[in-house]
Amino acid sequence: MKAVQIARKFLREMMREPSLLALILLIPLAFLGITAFAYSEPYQATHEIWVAVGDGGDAGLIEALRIARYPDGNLLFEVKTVDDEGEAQAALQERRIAAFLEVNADGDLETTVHGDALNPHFYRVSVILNEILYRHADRIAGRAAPLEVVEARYAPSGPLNEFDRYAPGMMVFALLMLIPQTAMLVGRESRWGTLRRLRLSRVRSWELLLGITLAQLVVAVILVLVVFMVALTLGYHNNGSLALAMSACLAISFSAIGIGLIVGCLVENDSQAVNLGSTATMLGVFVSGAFFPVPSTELFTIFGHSIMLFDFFPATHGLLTLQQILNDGAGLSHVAFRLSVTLLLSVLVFIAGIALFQRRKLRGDGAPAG
Amino acid sequence: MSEVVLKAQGLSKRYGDLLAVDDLSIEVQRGEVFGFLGPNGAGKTTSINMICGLLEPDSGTVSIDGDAIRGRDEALRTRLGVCPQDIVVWQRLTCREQLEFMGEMYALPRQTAIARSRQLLADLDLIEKQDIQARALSGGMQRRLNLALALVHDPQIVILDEPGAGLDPQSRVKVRQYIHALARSKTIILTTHNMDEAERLADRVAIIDRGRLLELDTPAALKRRVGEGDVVEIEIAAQIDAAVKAAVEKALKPAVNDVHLDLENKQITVRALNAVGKLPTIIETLEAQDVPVGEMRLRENTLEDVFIQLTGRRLRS
Repeated sequence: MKAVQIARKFLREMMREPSLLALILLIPLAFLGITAFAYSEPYQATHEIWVAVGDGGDAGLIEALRIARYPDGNLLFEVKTVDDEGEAQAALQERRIAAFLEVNADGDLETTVHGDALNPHFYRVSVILNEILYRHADRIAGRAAPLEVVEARYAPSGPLNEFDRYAPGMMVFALLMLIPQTAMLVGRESRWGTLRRLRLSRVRSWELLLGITLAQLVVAVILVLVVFMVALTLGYHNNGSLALAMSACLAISFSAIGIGLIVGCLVENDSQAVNLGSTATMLGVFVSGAFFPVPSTELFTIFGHSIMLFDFFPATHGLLTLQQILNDGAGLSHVAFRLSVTLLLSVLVFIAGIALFQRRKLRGDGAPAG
Repeated sequence: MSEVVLKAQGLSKRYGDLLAVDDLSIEVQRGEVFGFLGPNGAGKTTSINMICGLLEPDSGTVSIDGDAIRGRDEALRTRLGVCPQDIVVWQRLTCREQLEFMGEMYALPRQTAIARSRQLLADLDLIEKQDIQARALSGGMQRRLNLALALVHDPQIVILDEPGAGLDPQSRVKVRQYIHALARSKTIILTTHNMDEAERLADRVAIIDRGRLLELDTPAALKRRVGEGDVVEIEIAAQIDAAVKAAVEKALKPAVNDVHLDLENKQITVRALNAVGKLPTIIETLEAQDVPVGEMRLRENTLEDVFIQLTGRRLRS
């Protein structure tokens, strides 16, 4: 019961400090807005490509490009034939088109693909073009295709655009913002001497730590709900269970609270809590892959799962679990392993945070006094 | 017959090379106001922290009503209320919220915590500010709230660490009145470096310096040990040498109880019965030795005199 009252006290204090709430909520929401604005183009978009045909004709390639479709029936390309290579190069530079092909079937079918390597559209289109060109070459040469590729989705649903992939990452980002916030709250409690006052009362250490944790878990639930609702408003395509996603989020939260307690032991004022805590948050966001996937080194496998270097960070597993739940519609049985690993690693970090906090802040102090 | 409510036996605490508290033993009687008097850094707060269980002593024991305090003994802690020297409040909670919260932390039933909080707010003139967050209160009000937080669970023994520190005169009077009122029903231990506060409030005073207990008695008894009579402090208007000092002391000795000439501070301190009547003699003696006399002050013995006699230093030096 005391833990609940302590949690209520912390929540009350937080509600009266708008800047603290803004710190943890507005930054992830700002990133969410930016990613929604920049990465909402569908993966299965129809890309505009231009083709210049030489004197030898196109040997049916243009038609092959025009009829190429995604598995769901959408056209892959909108093909326009042009004569002016200069105009095509200008369109490439301005990124109005994804690729420009020069085709000449004089004897052999010669094809040159032009594109801007820094344009993500070309990056995607070039892979598709490569496959279509080889398949077409086999056909006109009368060769049977040596390889039949059938695309099968990993899950019945999946992210429809880059924003869908990023949105769960923004939830992880928001949860990791609990690190500076926890550090600030517990750091203040120590600095103001109120922790000492509580130690003089009948509160046990575990009740105090449970109170802090409960308060932060409430904040975590609110953060996830707000980020999720805003993501939906911005066009996020959810395919999974919010309740299951919430369990993954709460698992991640334990690690954030644990790191926050550790940071809280190391800082002497609010500025240090924000600086050091935010640094820990950004490192966590980076290694989790919340912003972009980070290549890692496989260390070993366990139950058929590759364990990479960054897998030792709870948020890495947490993000993958969230993406599987929300983007792919995965159920509990499918994510049970990753969810368990997330929870296990998170609890370990949480215990480390509690142990350090108890040692540094909840036992007899070492400072001489008057 | 007096009854010991709190007993500290052989308490010591060392921080590296600094022996903060050195073999401190005291017995506090039920219902008394017990004062710890000493300069800043004397070891008062360290002693208090060991007494209330916040700090583990290197050696020694503390007991309340004969029960030794070891580690986290909740029942014993409930008997103690500690008002720290610094203002320790939750800045973004209202006065009422934090008192009720602390009441609940001491496991008071909700209704009792509410009633007790309301009573304390009224007693300490904070009732009109009950719904104001602590950060919006004046320093004096925050100090009173600090005191209220130590009392919310109605402790048997109240420990007040420098209760007058940082208070404006108006708040100081209110707090002193409240401590006097509290003393009717509770045992109070207070630390202070303010001799006036110790004299006005304490039934018995322990003088502590450099971690050691120097004297322990009632203020009147302590002052009697310094010597009978009043004190005349005379400023010397010019520098004098050691020979003149010796001559002055020799000349005044027959007429007064005690004489001390401080060359560094250019001050003569004379203690004598009927000091006013002896002033002409004192002045004549000084003039005879060509000692130019500046300002003169007449006062009663104070605990500061006791401290100076015990340590050779002033409390506020």
